[in-house]
Amino acid sequence: MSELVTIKENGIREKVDVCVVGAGHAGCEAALACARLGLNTVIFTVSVDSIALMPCNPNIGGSSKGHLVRELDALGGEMGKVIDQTFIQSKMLNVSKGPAVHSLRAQADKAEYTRTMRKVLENQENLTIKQAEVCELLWEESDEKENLKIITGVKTFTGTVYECKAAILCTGTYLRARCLCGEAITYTGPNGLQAANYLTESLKNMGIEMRRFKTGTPARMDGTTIDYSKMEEQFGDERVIPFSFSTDPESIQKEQVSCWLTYTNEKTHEIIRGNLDRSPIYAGIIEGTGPRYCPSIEDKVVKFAEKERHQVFIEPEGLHTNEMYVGGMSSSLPEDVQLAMYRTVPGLENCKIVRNAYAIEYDCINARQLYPSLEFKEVKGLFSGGQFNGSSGYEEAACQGLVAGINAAMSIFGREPLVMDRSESYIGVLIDDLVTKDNREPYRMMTSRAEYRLLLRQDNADIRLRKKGYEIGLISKEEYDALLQKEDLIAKEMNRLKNTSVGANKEIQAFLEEHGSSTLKTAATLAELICRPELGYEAIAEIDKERESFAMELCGKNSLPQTVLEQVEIEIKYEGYIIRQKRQVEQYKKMEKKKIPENLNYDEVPSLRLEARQKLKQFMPVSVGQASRISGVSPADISVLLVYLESYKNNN
Amino acid sequence: MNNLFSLDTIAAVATALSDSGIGIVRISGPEAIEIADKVFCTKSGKKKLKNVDSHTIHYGYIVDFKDENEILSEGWQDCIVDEVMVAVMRAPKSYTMEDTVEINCHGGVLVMQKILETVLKHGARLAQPGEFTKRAFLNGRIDLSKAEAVIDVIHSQNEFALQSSMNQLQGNLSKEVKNLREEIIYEIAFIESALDDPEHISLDGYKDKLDEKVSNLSDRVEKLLSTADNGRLMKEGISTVIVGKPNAGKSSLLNIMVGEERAIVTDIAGTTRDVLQESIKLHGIGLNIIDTAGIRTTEDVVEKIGVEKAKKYANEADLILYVVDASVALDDSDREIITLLENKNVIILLNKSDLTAAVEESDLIQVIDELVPGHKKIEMIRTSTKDNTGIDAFENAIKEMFFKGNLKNNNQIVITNMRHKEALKNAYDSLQMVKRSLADDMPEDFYSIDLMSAYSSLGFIIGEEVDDDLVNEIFTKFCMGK
Repeated sequence: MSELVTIKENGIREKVDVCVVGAGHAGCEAALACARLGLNTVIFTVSVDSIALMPCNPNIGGSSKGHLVRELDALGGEMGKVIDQTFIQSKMLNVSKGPAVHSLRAQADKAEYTRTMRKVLENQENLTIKQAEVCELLWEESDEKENLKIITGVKTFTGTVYECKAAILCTGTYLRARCLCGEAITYTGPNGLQAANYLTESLKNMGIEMRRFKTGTPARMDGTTIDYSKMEEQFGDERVIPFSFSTDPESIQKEQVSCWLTYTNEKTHEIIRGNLDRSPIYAGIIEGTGPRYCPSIEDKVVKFAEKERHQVFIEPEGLHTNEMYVGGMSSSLPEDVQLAMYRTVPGLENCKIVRNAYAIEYDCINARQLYPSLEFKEVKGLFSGGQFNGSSGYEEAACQGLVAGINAAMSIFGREPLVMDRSESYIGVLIDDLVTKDNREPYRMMTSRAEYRLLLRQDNADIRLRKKGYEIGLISKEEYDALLQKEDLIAKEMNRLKNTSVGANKEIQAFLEEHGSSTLKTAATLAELICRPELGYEAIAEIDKERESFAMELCGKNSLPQTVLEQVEIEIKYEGYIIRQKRQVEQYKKMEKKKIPENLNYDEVPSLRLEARQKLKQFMPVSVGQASRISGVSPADISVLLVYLESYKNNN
Repeated sequence: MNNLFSLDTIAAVATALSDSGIGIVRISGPEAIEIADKVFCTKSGKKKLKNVDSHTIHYGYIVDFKDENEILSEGWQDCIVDEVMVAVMRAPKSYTMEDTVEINCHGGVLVMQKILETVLKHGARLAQPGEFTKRAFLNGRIDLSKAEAVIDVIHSQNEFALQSSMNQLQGNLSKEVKNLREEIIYEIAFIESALDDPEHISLDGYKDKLDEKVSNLSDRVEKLLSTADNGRLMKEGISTVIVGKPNAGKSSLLNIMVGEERAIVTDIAGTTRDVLQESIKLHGIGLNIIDTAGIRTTEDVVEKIGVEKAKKYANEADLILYVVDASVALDDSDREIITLLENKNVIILLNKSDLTAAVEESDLIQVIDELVPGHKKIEMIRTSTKDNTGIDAFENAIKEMFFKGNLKNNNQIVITNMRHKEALKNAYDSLQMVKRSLADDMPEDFYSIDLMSAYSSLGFIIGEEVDDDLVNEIFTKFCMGK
C-alpha cells in the first residue's frame, strides 16, 4: 500500500489556478480566500458530505483559540461567521482574569456547521467542489535555482489531471490514516471515512520528509441513556458576544442549550489501570506521537496518579441529535473496557455508546520545510496548512488554511506574501513556532506561547489586522471604514479623558470616599481616576459631566458603542503594562527586520560556537530575530552573526 | 534576549579595573547624558551636562543620590562617591557614534565599581563584553575590514566571561539560583495552565498562596544580593599559586595562611597529589590560593597529573609563591620550577630556616638570572612554617606588592560579580512588581509577566535561557483537559 503508484491518466485535463486538497477547516478557508481573490479554484474532498467536519470536540474557540478565530475573521476568514450562525451555547472564558486572556468559546451544532460552511463554498464564485482523492502531485524542475521544483498540477485516483499554478495541501488526519480502538484496527480516516493512501508516496518522491502523529477522541453517548440529575449543569453566557466583527450582536441572542459536568472516580481509574496492557499506546502498537495537552484518560490516570478524579464534560453534538460528546475521556482502549469505564462515571451508569472512542494515526510533515508564508522551501507553488503541518485543532487549521490560501494567491499575483510576526497576532506566533521550532507533538495554541499577549487581545483583533485583510482584498471597503470610524472614536474619547481634569473639590472627594478610593491632593485627570484599581470607566460616570454630550456630538447617541468603550478602558487601565510590552516589541521588531541571506554559509562565519553553527545550519532562520529564538544559540553568537552580516552585506 | 541594538544605554569601566592611576567609566546610548546628569554634580550644583557643548570636559563630583530632590538639599556632599572630570561627546562624534559620557575618576577598583553601580542604578545597563566595539562597528564607526577583529573581541571576551562565570560561581549559589528558578517556573506554569484550561484548573484562593510564595522568593533573592555586596558570590581575589618541590612546606604555608588544617601535611614527599584551593583576605586583599602538588620528575601516574596541573596553574597565576626547602641543596627539580617564574610576580620563601641552611639567597638569584633572564624583581624571605617565623614579613611583602600596583585583582571576576548582582537585582525588582500587582488586585495573568522576568534574570547567572521550559513544565506538572 505504501509504494509509489502511478495512476494512468484518463484523458481529462482541467486548467485551474489553484488546487486545494482537503475540505476540512484549513481547506475551506484556503479555497474561499483564493476564490474570493478572483482565482479559479477547485477544492477536493474524499466526501462532500464531510466538508468542514468536526470529528472531535463540538466547539469552536476556547482559551487562545478564540483569539485565533477573531484574528481569522479580522483578516477575512469564514469560521467566525459560520459559528456565529450555528452555535448552540456560547461563553466568554476567563472573564475574571485580565482582558488579554478573555476568550470566546462556542458549542457548535456540528451538522449545522458543516451544512452552513458547505453552502458558503457552493455559492462562492470561482470555486468548484470535487469529490475525488488526490493521489499525485505533478511538478517540474525549476531552472531558477538548483533543487527547486515547481508545482504544475495534481492527479486524482480516477486519472484526471488538474493543471494549476499553486496547490494547497490540507489533508488533515487522512494521509495513511489508521484508527485504533483496542485490538480493533481499521485503516480509515476519522469517523470511518475513507483514508488517503497514495499522496504520501508522491510527496516523499518529491523529497518532502514525512512524519507520523497521533491524536484521539472520546466516545459519543446516546443522550437518552444519560442521567443528568447526577451532573452539574453548565450554562452559556446571558449576553452572547459574536466571534465575527461583522456579525450584529443583536442577531445572535437566542436560547442556548446546556452542557453537563461530572467526574471520574477511583473505580474508573482501577478499570483503566487493570486494562493498560490492552491499550494500543501502552502496548506499543501506536507509533505516532500524541499531544500532551489533550491526553487520553489512560494517560491522565497514569501520569497524574495522585489525582483522585478527573472532570468529564458532557456536551451536545447538535440540536437535532441525541448524541453527546464525553469531553475529557478520549481513549484507545477496547470497546468492552470503554463501556465498563464510562459506566463508572456518575450519570453514565446506564449509558449506551453510539460511537466508540478511538485513537487515530496519520502522516504529516515537519513544518520546518516551509517558509513563514507556508510555501514549501523546495517546491514553488506548493503550500500547506492544518494538521498536515503538525498542528492540532480546528482553529489552528483554519488560520493556516487562510494564510496558505492568501499566499498562494499572492504568489500567483506576484505580490508580497502575508507574513505576520509574533508581535502582530497569535497566527504569527502559531506559524513562527511551526516553521522554526522542533515540534515533537501536534501543536496546539496556548496563551503562554504569545510573548506579547497583552497587545494581542481578542478584543482588538480588528484593530490589529483588519487593515491587512483590506489590503489583501478579503475585507470590504464598508467593513474597513467601520474600523476606521471605531479607531477615530477611541482616539477622541481617550484624548478627552486624558485632558479633562477634575479638581479636589467637595463633590469629587465625597465621590471618591464613597467608592473606597483615596481623596485627591491636587487635580487629577479622568484617565488617572479610571486607572485606579477600585474605579473604572463605568464607575466614574457620575463625575464625568461631559461624557454624554461628547458621545452625542460624535455619534448621535448618549453613549459611545460598547466596543469603543472596551478599548478605551483597557488602554487606560493597563497603560503601564501595555507601554512596557510595546517597548519590548520595538526591540523585537528590529531583530526581525535584520534578514539573513538565504544562501548564507554558516561555516564561513568565524567564531560561532559549534553548537550554534549546527543549529543555525539545521534551522536556516530567515532573520536574526528568528535565529535568536533557536535554543543553543547564545546572545554572543547573535552578536557575532550581526557583525558578520554587516560586513557580508557590504561585500556583496 | 538581551538588547542587541542600541535602543538602550550601556555602561562599563573602559580602562583596566586596577588600583593604579586614573580610570574611566564609559556610558553610551541615547540616555547617556541624561543618566550622567543624575549622578554628576558640579560644585555650584547648577551645571547640567545636557546643556554643555559636545567634546567638552567638566569638573565635579559623582554623587549617589537616594532620590532626585536630594540634589537641592544641604547634605548632598555626604553622598559624594568621587571627584571627577566628565567628558561629553555627542552622537555621532564618539567611539560608538552614540551619545557618550566618559567619567574620568581616580583609579581604584572600589571607586570605579561604585561609580559604575551608581550609573547602573540610574538606568544604564551593564555592557556586554565587547559591546562598545560592537556598537561602534554596527553604527559604521569601524572599518569593515576590521569585522573579523571585532568578532574575535566579542567572541573571546564572551568565552572568557562565561568561563570565569562558571568557574567562579560558588556551588551553593548556583544551587540556590536553580532552586529559585524551579520554584518560580512552577508558579508560572500553574497560572498559565489555569488560563489555558480554566474549566479544569481553578485559581480560586491562589492569590494568598502566591503572595506568601513571592515573599519567600524575594527574601531569598535579597539574601543572595547581600552576599553579593560582601563580594562572596564569586571567588574574587588575586590568583595565587604555591609551588615548590615535594615536602618543601607548601601545604604548611597554606595551612598557616588559612588558619586551619586543610591540606594533608606529612613527612612523606608527594602527599598533595592534586590541588587545593582557598580564598582568604590578607590585610583586606583578597587572595585566591591554590596549593599544588610538588614538582619533581616522577613515575607515579597520579602524581604526574598533579605536577602537570601545578605547572598549568602556575602559568595562569597572578602571583607565585615559591617555597624552597632551604635545608637541602638546589637540584634539577628546582631548576624546572624556576623556569615557571618568567614574567611573574614572585615571592620566594626560603623555608625550614629552623634547620641548617643549605641554600643562600645569592645562590638562588644566580640560578634565576641564568634560567629566566629579565625576570621581575623577586622578594626573598626566610621562613619556618614549623616555628611560624618570617610569616609577618611574607605577608607584608604581599601587601606592598599590591599597593604598589604590581598585583591586580582579576578584573573579569569583579565584573562578573557585578553582572550577577545586576541580574539578582533585576529578579528582585520583578518579584516586587508581582507583589505590587498582587496588592493592586491585578488579574492573575499579569503576575506571570513579572515572574517570567524574574525567571529569566536568574537564568543569566547560571547561563540558562528560557526556551521551552514553560510549556514542558505545564504539561508535566498539570493535567490539562479535553
